[in-house]
Amino acid sequence: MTEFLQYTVNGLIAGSAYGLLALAMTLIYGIFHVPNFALGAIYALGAFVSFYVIQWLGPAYYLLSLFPIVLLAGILGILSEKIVFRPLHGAPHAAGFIGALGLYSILEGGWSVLFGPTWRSLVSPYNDVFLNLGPVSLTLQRLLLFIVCLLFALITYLLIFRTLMGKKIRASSENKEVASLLGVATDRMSSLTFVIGYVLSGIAGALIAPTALVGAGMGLTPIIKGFIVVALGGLGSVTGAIVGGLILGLGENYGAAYISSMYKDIFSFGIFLLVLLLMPQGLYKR
Amino acid sequence: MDSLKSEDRSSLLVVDRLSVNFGRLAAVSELDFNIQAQEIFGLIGPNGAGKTTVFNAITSAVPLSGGTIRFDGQDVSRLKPHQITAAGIVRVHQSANVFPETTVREHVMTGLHCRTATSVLGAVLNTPFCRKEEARGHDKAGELMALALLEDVQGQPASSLTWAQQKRLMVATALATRPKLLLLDEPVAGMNSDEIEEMLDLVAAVRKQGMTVFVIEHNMQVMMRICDRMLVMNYGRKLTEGNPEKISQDPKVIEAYLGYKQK
Amino acid sequence: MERTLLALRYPLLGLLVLLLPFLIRSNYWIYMFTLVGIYIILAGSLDLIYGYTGLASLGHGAFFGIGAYACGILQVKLGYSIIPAIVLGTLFTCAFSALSGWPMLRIKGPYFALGTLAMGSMVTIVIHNWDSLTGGVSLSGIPLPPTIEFLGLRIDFSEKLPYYYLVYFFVFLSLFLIRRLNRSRLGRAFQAIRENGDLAEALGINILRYKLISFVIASTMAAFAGGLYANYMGSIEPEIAGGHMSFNLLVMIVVGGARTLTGEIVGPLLLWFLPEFLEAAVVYRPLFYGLVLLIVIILVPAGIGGKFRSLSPRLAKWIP
Repeated sequence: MTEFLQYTVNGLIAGSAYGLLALAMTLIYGIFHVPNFALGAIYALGAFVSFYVIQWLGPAYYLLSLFPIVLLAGILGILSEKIVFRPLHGAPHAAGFIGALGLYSILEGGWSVLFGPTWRSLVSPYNDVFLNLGPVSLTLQRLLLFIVCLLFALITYLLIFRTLMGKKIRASSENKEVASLLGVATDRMSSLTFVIGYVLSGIAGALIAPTALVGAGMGLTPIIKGFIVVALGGLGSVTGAIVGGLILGLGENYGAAYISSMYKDIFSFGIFLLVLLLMPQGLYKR
Repeated sequence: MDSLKSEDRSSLLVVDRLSVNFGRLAAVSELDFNIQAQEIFGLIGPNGAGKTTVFNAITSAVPLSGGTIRFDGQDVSRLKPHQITAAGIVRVHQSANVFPETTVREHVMTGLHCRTATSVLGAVLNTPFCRKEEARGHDKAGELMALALLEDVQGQPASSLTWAQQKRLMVATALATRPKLLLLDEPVAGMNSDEIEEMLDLVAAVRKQGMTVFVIEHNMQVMMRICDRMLVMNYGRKLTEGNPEKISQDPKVIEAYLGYKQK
Repeated sequence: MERTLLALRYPLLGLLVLLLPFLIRSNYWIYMFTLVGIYIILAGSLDLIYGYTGLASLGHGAFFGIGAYACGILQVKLGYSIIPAIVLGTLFTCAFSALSGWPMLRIKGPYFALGTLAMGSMVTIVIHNWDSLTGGVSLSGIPLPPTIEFLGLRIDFSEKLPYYYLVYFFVFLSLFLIRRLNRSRLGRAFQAIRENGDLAEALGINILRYKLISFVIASTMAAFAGGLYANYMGSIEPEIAGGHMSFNLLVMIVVGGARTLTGEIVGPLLLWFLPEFLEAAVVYRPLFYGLVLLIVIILVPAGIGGKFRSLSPRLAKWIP
């Protein structure tokens, strides 16, 4: 029983990171109807920035890395939206999708060149602090990951559903022409959505970094999983992304614990393919 | 089988208590009608009456919520769309529905696909059978393009044609599937009088070749000219049916269209 | 005059390929061109499903990998000789592609691309972890084809030349196969599915069936290319089945120009040799590929082949 609780906690923690990535992806999907793979590279960037901040300034300054991440992610978000996604919006035959793949490749390739091909580990001040909450044990870093992810998910949720700006974002994503006729600055809303999405991904990466290995390609599997969560939870659904992420994290950890840990990633892919086969039209029609 | 009325037994299409619901919206309710072979049968009704839904139900583009559809004696209610076409029912859409980058000739030849049988191996090896089918296909396409007045544009991509040309292309392509029943959804919408005549000539030629036509239209003059019998729908239900003369004088029909009772 | 020149395009190309080794006279370059040849077969097969049928598959590399590993394992672990190994390996992958395609091809839109990506990743993970069968990180020791004595000729595969001709024989065969398919009623079905799937279905085309035909043929070609690759390289890694390979193939087709013979040839040539000419280290490749892909998809979406063909009808006659 204790083991089950431990797996559950691990699953929820991993799931919170997936949920944040999925949230970023679903927001952007809502506007351009393209799954933005580049978010995986921003996730990796977040990890790299924390790595270097710790390396240059020391572990105590770990949380400080969030500032440059927000800045860099925001800039990259605005640039990608203007240079890649807006020109390709509405282009036929999945051009936007291909553009997203190209962007991911450029960024991942860029990190490879800038930061080198090796994988490293990074140590934050919270890595060594173990907490025992009843029968379950976890590091402070992972608790931090969980809390911050959910916090940002909540903030984003409130932003999207309870503010005027959020309403404008939703309007722009549901129907750009009508929204702009009604006076919504749709271009600015899509830039804003990108900034939010990229910042969330960068933060997720920074939080994950101390618990995993950091490398240029670290974002590929997580972003695929993020896309899986978005596909299952509903393309464009905010709650679907968060809840779906948690469920995926749980499913993955149970599978790894009770069946095989070597094939952990296969569980998410397997579950996904299974669900798709049973419902080939996609889950929720938006 | 024995519950079929005597007239049903000779009918080409028998629609019995057809219902189509989208969630709580009853688009079509308990619709009954027959179509006889080689007649031109019209379907009219105000916007939103459920006419296109009837076409969608026949071609299996939407699932039936109730009732059956029998074609040529066979129950087609549960077939997949491509099987319906193979059985002999083909439909021409209301809005432009073409293969945009395909040339007119290739477009029509695509319609022939379901009536040809060359296999993968045959195609790769370019067997005599394959070559014969291709040659016959080109001949047939030539005939249909001539019929549809599209010979001059046969090398152009479908997207470059005028609206009227595209609609005729859609008809020609549909005819290539060798249907017994042709469903035409608003064939003359958006056309000027010359284009309407060209389309009606096409429909007349089609009828002469022994095909049955089921047509939805809003243009009452056209319907009066070409239909043998008509069905009037309103709010998803049958309002009345009969020959065009009778329909045009039916007060219920006039009320449905104009929204008030005529004195 | 023009007609004879037009008809001579392909024989001239064939002659060029035949004579190339004698023009470049360098084992290294023959090696490079042989590899490019394998990529041309791969790119062509991807063009069949992506360019012609419109299926955005990000898992095409998986079939290349499975074909390579099946062929390699049969030789290394079970002692088969090359011809039965490559034939059985290809047939095995063919069956696998039919089994996996049948459910996956029902899936629509972006979900399909994601599903193929997931499948490709799963294949890579399985190959990597099932090390008792696949050798884990790499499978090595795959032998070259044995020396053949044929009509007094001695073909020794330890030299670079014979394998080059072997590969290019299959390059011509596969490109010919693709053209034949696309000019037939099957090609019409593929194009119809790509341009307007609903209309295709309404005209009596069983779209699942034809998507599957296209998918299985393409995957089988990729598997065969995998067998050729495995025997040429002598050792293979799980990554050849993964997302990076699939991505690279997609870039080749998009940049070369989908649905054109030119694209299927120029794409791989360009994307293989340009980094070489720029003397870029391997680590720059993903960056380079991504950049080229973005530039093409935003500015010249029809790719090189497509763009040149669209410039004038006369050019379109000359550029296939």
